[in-house]
Amino acid sequence: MRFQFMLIPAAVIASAGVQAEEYLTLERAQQLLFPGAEFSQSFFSINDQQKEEIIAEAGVTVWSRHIKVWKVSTGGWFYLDQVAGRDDWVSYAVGIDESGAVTGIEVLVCLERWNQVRHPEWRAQFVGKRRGTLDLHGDIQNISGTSLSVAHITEGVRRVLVTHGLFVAPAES
Amino acid sequence: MSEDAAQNAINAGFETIEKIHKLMSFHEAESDLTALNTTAHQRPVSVHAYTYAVLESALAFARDSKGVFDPTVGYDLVKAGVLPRPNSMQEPDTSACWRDVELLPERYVRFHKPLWIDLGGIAKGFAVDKAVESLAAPPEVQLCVNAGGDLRVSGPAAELVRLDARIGDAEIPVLKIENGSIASSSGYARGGQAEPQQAAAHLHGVRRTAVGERSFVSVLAEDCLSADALTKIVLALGLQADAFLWRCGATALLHNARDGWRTLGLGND
Repeated sequence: MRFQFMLIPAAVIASAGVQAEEYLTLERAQQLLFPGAEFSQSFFSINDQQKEEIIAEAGVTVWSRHIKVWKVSTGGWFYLDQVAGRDDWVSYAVGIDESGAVTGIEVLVCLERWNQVRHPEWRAQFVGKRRGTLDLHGDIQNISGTSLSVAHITEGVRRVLVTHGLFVAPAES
Repeated sequence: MSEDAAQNAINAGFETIEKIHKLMSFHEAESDLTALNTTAHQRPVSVHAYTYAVLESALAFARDSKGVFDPTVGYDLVKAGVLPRPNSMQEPDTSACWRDVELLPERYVRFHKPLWIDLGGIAKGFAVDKAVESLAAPPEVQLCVNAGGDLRVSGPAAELVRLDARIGDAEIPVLKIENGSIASSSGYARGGQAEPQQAAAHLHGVRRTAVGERSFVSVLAEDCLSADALTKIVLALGLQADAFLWRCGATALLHNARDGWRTLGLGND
């Protein structure tokens, strides 16, 4: 007999629509983006005005008012987000370092045929992007056959960067 | 395994569970349990092999736990409003305990005093174990039998089980288990954790008072009957159940508001 006991924050399951099985990949994504770190949940919700600010600056749809972010013990933040693929919701994670730059993204759940977005080389394109530097139309290479997910994840990362800059990151000089 | 073979096996599993329920029900007039509770203090009563096996296990747990687990709490459960009062049965002797149950050869059972046995949860655990046995699945087949929360898993993969702890919404306890059994119990009143004054479902076998009214426990063991018996022992003994769980090769996840989640027994690092 083997067993493992886990306590899963209900906020993750309910609002992210992540099932318990998928949460296991969430933990893995956390460790891939920030190896050996501990994560303390720092979820918050945005109001209408804040939502408008994000839309104004990022130019993208805001899917949910609930921002799922964890503070990382070794520095930085871990965001869990969902965007619409063609037939499914794509759950993905963005790591942001202390300076506000993307350290990487990990895709958590994908229907098999859209799996191209999990390609390491494709995800690597996001590394180093900052608020203001992620261009929706030229920056990220499309992958044939997955254009909807690509555009949405790109928009999502842009939205996360803007949200981070407006409401989470320490005030800069 | 072919679809037909799987379906036949599954039907056999359900039949087994149904049969065990009929034999060991406290309320059914035709059950072995009713025959015992009505007559066994007057003369030995013959029971089905399944009933005899469950009684053997129940008495072994009673002996090993020095009576903390005691299947003769039927009368106390009726008085507490947890079980319905049986019709036309002699009132039990309130000093009766597990030592007054004698198992005789040829599947006969005798009581030395009038008493009421309740096989409650452990009959369900036994039913799950027997169902798994009757399914006779080859080792590469993934199997999960779940009877109202008493659950047994076998096969190459792990199952994820959400524990119905009802302790608030902030965190959801989930157990990942491979090749084992889980049984869960709480002493919460029917209405939930908020009303501890109402009848609780679990009694300390010696003191005959309610236990675990603010606790929830899940026990992991090799077989479901043991997991179930152990839930009652853990609710009664709390953290003191650690050594007992070790000896049984079992683990318990115990929760209460004061201490949060604690792991007891095997696998407790």
